[in-house]
Amino acid sequence: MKTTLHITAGFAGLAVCLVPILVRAEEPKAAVENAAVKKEAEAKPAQAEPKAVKKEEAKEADENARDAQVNVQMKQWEAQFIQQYRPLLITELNFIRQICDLAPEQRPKIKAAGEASVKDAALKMAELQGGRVRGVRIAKVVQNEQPDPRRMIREALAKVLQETLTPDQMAKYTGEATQRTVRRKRAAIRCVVARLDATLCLAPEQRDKIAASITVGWQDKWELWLMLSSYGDQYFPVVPDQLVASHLNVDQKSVWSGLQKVDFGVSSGGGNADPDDGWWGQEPTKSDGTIQ
Amino acid sequence: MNTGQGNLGRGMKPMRKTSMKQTTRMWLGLFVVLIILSRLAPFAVADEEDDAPAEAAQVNQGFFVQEENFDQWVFQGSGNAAAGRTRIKSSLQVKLAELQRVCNLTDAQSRKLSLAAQGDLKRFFDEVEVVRQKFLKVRNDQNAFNNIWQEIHPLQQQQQAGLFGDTSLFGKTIRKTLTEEQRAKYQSVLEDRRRFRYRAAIDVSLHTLTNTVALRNEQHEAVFKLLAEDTQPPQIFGQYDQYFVFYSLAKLPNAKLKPLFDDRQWKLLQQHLQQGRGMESTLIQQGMIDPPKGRILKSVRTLLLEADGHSEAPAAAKADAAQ
Repeated sequence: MKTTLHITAGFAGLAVCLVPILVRAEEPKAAVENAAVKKEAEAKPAQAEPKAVKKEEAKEADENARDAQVNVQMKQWEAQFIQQYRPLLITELNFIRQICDLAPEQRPKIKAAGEASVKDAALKMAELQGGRVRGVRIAKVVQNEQPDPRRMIREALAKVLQETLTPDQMAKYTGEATQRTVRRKRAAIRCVVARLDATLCLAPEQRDKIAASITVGWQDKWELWLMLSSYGDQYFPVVPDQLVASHLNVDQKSVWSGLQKVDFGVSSGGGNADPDDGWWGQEPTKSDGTIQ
Repeated sequence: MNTGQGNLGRGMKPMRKTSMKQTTRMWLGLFVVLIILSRLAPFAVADEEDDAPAEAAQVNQGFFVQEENFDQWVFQGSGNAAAGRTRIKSSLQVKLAELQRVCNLTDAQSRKLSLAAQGDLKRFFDEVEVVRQKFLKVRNDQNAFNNIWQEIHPLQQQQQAGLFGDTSLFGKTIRKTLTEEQRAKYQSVLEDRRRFRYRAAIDVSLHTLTNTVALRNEQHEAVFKLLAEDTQPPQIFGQYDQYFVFYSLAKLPNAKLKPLFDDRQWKLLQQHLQQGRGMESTLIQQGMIDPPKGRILKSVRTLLLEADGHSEAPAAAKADAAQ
């Protein structure tokens, strides 16, 4: 009798001990099942109408908040781009100052147009970046044509110079600006060909042929190749294959195809001597209508 | 019997009592132990659950780098080791073809040069394999991986700079194998290449200068001519080319330079000249210019050769200086 009692007590004890363990062991299974049920419930479209409305409202509020955030960010980008592009304007203003023998009354208008073009370029770039953040679909063509601040500044200045300079001044400016463009192109091409020469051991006639090919196929944006030297010997610009490869032998082609080529994108850089030493003067306010 | 039985019985009774007590104690003990175990069990399970991921996180935190990445890092631009090897071999062929074109190498010379180049290739690929094995061991351990990167990077640089430069076996064999006439011809080709690259560097530097010191076309051409004719190219080229040009410009006598600029331009030019002068020690360190005579300053290249235990380091340095 006592033995039976002991045995019973023993089993009872065992049962008391084992139950929590078994329950615990079942917990992960239960959790998995619960999660599955929950997931299923979430996957189903919201059945209750008010819930859907609330969701819509929340989504809209989210979008508005995100929009506001992007707008703030765009302002910051714009300010950054203005700083980044200003040296480009300084380069151009230095050039105009050196070449055109401007009269004091001609200066403020030119400078103001230049400043406006920097702001314009910065705004366009910030808008493009903002659009990307918002996930706005941008047509492929537009996407490939990033605003070129250098070009925008030069074009704005060319326009104001056309309106402001005397024919004699304009002729001088046009002549020098054309020569400068030729020099830049020559420098960019020489720079790339020299690097190719060092890497591919070109024969002199190969150098000439490649330089000639690039000259014929020249695109203005390749002016950025002038930045090549600051990247050391690691990178090459993206030169269209047909302008180079057709002048190479088999081994040179193999080396050429394996070179790491990078697109230099939008440049900054430019003059660092601020031309605003008072020489450019102040543009008169529109209300007084007089020229300083 | 009684005694015996009694004894036995007496003996049995207490024994049974003892046994009963012991059994009860045993069951109770077991009960208590199991109770304690049952209380501890959940914690034990919980601990196990906590420890396993923590341990796994300590090992790799999901960090794993594919072997392909190693090849892409070392052979940048080639994608994999096979393509990298092909490109390096092609660059050797390019050099050999130029030597053949310029120097009309004999078969023996060609063989010697090829053999030397094979030595350079082997040395490089052996190094790559050593580092690869180290990489494979640590590719799932982020901390150790950061260290291995310091061994991958020099291989990457070496590959980018080319394996057959002046300090390579190939470079040394060229110097030893060519006849005087061949050497002169080859030297002339290399000199022409240096001049061409220097003119490009001058062009680019003057473009930078013009951003601040706007130059008329005739001024630009005059400064270009002065630099191209009155200054020497650097001993090697690299990312400091522009500073070298400004350094060379600053070295020109004022009597030659100043008349080319007006007062404002001259004033603006000074910041570039100062920048050039200030780069002298960097240019020496980069091996672009020799240190001024009388100063004991070893070039980086000489130091590296010495560190590698190359006994011919001074000779190589002298040969460089002679070139």
